[in-house]
Amino acid sequence: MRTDCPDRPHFRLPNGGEIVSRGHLACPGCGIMPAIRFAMKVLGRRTVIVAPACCYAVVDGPFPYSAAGVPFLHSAFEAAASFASGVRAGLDTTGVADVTVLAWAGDGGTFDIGLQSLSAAAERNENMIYVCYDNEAYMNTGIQRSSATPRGAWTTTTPKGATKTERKKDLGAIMAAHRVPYFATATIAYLEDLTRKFAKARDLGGFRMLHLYAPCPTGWKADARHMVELSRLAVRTRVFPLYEVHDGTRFEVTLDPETAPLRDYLALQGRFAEMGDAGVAAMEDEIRDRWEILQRRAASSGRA
Amino acid sequence: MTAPQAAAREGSAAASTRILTGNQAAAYGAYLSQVQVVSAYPITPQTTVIETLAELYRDAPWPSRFVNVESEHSAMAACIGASMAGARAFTATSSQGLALMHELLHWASAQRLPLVMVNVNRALAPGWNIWTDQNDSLSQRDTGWMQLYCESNQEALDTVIQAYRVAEQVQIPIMVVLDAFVLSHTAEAVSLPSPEMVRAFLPPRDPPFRLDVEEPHAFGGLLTPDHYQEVRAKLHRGMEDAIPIWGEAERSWEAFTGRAYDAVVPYRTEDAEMVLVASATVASTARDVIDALRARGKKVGLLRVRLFRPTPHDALRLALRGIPRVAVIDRNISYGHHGIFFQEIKSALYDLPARERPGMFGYVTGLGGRDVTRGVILDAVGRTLSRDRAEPETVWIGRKE
Amino acid sequence: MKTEPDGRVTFTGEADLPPVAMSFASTAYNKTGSWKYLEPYHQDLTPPCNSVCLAGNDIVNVMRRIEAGDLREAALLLLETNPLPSVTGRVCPHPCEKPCNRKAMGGAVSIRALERFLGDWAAREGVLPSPVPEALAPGDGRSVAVVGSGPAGLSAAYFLRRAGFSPTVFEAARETGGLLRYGIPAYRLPNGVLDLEIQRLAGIGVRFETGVRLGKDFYLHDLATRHAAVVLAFGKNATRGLGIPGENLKGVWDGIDLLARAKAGKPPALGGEVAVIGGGNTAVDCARTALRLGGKATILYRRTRREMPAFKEEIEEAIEEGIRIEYLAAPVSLSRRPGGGIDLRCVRMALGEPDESGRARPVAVPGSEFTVAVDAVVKALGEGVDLGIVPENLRKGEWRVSCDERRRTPVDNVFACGDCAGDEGTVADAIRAGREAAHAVASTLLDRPYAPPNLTRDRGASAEVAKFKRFNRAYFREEAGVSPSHRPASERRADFREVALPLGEEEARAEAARCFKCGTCVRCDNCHVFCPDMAVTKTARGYEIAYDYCKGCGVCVQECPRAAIHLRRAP
Repeated sequence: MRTDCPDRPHFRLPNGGEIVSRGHLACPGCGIMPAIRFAMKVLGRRTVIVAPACCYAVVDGPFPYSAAGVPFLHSAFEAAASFASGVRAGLDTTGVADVTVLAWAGDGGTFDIGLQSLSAAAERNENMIYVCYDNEAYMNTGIQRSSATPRGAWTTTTPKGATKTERKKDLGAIMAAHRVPYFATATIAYLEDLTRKFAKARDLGGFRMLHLYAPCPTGWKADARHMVELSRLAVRTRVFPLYEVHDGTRFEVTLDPETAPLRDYLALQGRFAEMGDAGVAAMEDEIRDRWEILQRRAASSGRA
Repeated sequence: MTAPQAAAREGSAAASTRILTGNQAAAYGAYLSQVQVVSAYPITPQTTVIETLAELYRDAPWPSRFVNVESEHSAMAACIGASMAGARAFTATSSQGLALMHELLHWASAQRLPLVMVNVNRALAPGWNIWTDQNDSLSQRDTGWMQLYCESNQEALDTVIQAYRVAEQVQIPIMVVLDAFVLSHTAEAVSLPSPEMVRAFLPPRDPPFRLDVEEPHAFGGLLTPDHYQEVRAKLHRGMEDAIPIWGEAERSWEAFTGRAYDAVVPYRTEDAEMVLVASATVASTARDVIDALRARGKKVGLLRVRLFRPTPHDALRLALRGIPRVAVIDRNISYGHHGIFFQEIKSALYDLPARERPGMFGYVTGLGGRDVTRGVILDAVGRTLSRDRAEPETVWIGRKE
Repeated sequence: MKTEPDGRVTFTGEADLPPVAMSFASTAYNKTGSWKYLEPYHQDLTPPCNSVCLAGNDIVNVMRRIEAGDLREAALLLLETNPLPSVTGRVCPHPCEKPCNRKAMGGAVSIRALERFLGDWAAREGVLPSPVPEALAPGDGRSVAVVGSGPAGLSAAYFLRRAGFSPTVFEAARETGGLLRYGIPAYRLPNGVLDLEIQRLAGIGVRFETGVRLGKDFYLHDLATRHAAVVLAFGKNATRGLGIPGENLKGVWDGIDLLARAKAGKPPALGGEVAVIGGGNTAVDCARTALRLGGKATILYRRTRREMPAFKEEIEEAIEEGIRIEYLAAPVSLSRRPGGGIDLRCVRMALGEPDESGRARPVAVPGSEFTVAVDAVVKALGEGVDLGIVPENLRKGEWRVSCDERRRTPVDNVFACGDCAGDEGTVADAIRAGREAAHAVASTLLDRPYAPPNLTRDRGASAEVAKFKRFNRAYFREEAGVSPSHRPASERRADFREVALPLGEEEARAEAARCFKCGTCVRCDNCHVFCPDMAVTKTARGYEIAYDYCKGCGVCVQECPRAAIHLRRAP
């Protein structure tokens, strides 16, 4: 049967009640929350969360409170994957091997300071799910540039007149090069895709990673109400394609909705206010480039 | 002697004597403690600790993991994670590696995790230097870890096992420190206690809190000025409590093995007019010097400091009160100040009544693995006995002028 | 450590504190609702189709049920407001489709065709409106007379019955249905369809007496004494004359009479050139009927196509079938033509200033007379109400029964609706009028304070009409609809079978699915799933917003596909 929401065909809420609780400290319209909420619905209560310094570490609540609903270990900024590796080892050696270890880190803790420990855990094929929720800058500290910040974006360390000139790291390629069993991108506008990927990750073993695109209205100078809209437009403009990679070699685009003009996406965000026509054209080129690379990888996997 | 102790001692017939380096002895200590998770990263001169463990853990009969991480920072991170999950965890490092761990040393102690780590003292770069001095471990003085400095390979083994018992009682991590090469790579006869004996001495870990899906808590969230200080005060109190608990562990271990070390170890200090204070293997050489001087009728003694943190104030005061001259030999320096043991001991004795307060003499020597010979120690004794008052500046001995 | 009733955890001092920073409670104590300055609320708006439906149908919710395949539920909902869905599903000019928001993305939803589909399905299945008032409270079975069985009378009787009264419909003709039976040709509304609808009324207990004429077989006074109330719902029963010489010649036909005879299967012999005079639906129907009887029909209309009151579709279908329309022409006189036939003398008209109806007044162009030779002329200028059958004090002017906004005539407990009460309009309008009359009867007889019916309010919707610009277009795709197919003109001009073909069930469901459900919460869960603060929970009736936690981000409002959530200033 057809549903009236083409972006979420046949979407069924995962079973079970809410695990994450209300009263958390996320900004209005935070793109992390629907993601963690549904991730937890899929993964269930036999999950341990490890989170490094990041927005979510604050969002979860101050002592003596926590919104997580499951055990939650705060970790040092650069070491989420290592903390999580230790937790995995500790659980396995104390007889609770059936508990899922979920590392939940921001882009700073993943693309930048945490990349070393992440790479090592991936190389060891640690049995965990590592999620990078990517809001494209250091938001918790007040919007500083990270290597996940896109070219042309304003941040407080790439200020007006000196917006970022470097391109964003290709995290998917980095993780694929580690030949991890599973890597996928996902974002909350496409919840069915997102929950399906979490379920897939849950049911696989070894190192599984999800790269979540999590709009940050605060840091992107956008209207909070546009959080899901930004998530959707990021996919429709191919700023953030939805794909997955098995074993680092089999690429598959999982969802390729009707495309939308890049300007629709940029217009909702103050951080791109300075981007002129040339900047937009350059970004379009970059997006096309990356899309073609992805298409080639998918094609060579026989899964275009 | 309690029944289990007696039984274990019975079993100690199975205890064997092996020729082991200090690093191997420390590794056996961890293995006999039935550590579940080992995570470490290679660095000279620590590497043979984890090499030995890798061999031992290949066939460990209990559930265990050996996590080969990419840095010391991650080694400590993995130990923290494992310990949070309820496992007994171990790591070992040296020098640069320890410095890299610094952030997480605070993390482990403030998270009240009973980790045990062997640090093989090695001088810090630059100028790469792999030889012994204590600046690496003493730089971590304020991280909330207990620190014990070993003098022999047997002591290294024994201390690791003792450390787990105490750490898990007070929920504070413990660093067991060995001199590079002098202990780490020098073999001597070591008595291995039987596994039964160790099991009787060291019960399985029973953490008061852990990552438990049946009873979920978040650990390490925002701790505001409203509560931070009180929570940290608890760590401090835990350190204070650890002194008598360490003493209990020594007595118990002595009952099992006949061996005891204590927080501070006095040697021929009765009627002494001067007491040398030293730590680690320098104390061995110093003991020789003391014997020689005693033979010549000099009233000198030695106090070896084994437990550096928490500071055993009472033991230090008891051992040194009324001694006219106390000379501290430091294989370390707090730049711009003094040797670190010196300042600590001086501070511990300050509260003694003026007539019982010793004259304090401090000597810095042996940095970067320079030998601390009998001659150097004699120099310290000579300087101390020849002066009524300490020299105001830091006194370097065994240094080329 | 103590947990307060609000979920807060307090410590008495250091001894009480845990050794590490660890949690002992969820963040639910933290009422983040205090952060907001705007707050969302769920409120259905009026869908544009519903806003213009004279019958008052809840079109969007009917569409939802068809889409879901719940045809019975859909039919029951439709029957709540419309007793004659198979009829309106054929003859209503569907003003609902005009403002349809779907228009911009693949064309308006074919609401009328769906109504026909559903009405026919309901008739076939014998669906009765639910509940049928067995116990008869609150009207308590009191008898009400309804005069006239056209759409207004049927509607009044239907709603009276559903309100617990016992209505009897008096019809002068031999069969019920009035205009529906005698005035609308079979190719638009076959009698079999009407029969099934009336059968449904009989099925819930409406009684009919046919062949009895007010003012002849009985009088208003008789009804008023025998019944608790009377509803006058008779229709137009007199044809307007042309008022020109020769209009009673042989070969000149009365339009209404022609249609009635054709519908009854006894059409007059009509062939050759047939001129139909008029511009309303009757004129077009007469022309199409004449065509089907073998004639060659031309419509003479004194204004232009723009002013023609006939339904646009009717005109188009007629032209398709080969009917000619002579605009700006008016008859002046008729005379017998030597050798047979009629000379129709006409004059050219020009459009002048607007008249009282707002349409341009046609003015004869001097010296433009011309003569057309025809074989027959059909008078279809329009019909009037013969007020001779009611007492004088009930007459208002020449053509209508006097009644107030509550449909009360000057005589106690006598009400009026339909054409006779000036509700000149469509079947849908007659249905509305009948419902209003039933409502008025009920409030009078049950001595209830009268309030005008307000279906929008009853449905909990706001009167604001849902506008496309407030929708989230991401949830809708451009999608072409089914256009209800017609039999080819060449085929249909030869018989009286229906012109428009029915939709199949799959087709109907697909078409209903195209409906945006404008302004109507369909429980799509977007507000619930996308709320970053988990403040929107599902309830049995819909959603509930926990204002204690809602931070007022507006994501739910933005992600509501169809503008059923709104923002207001937070208190």
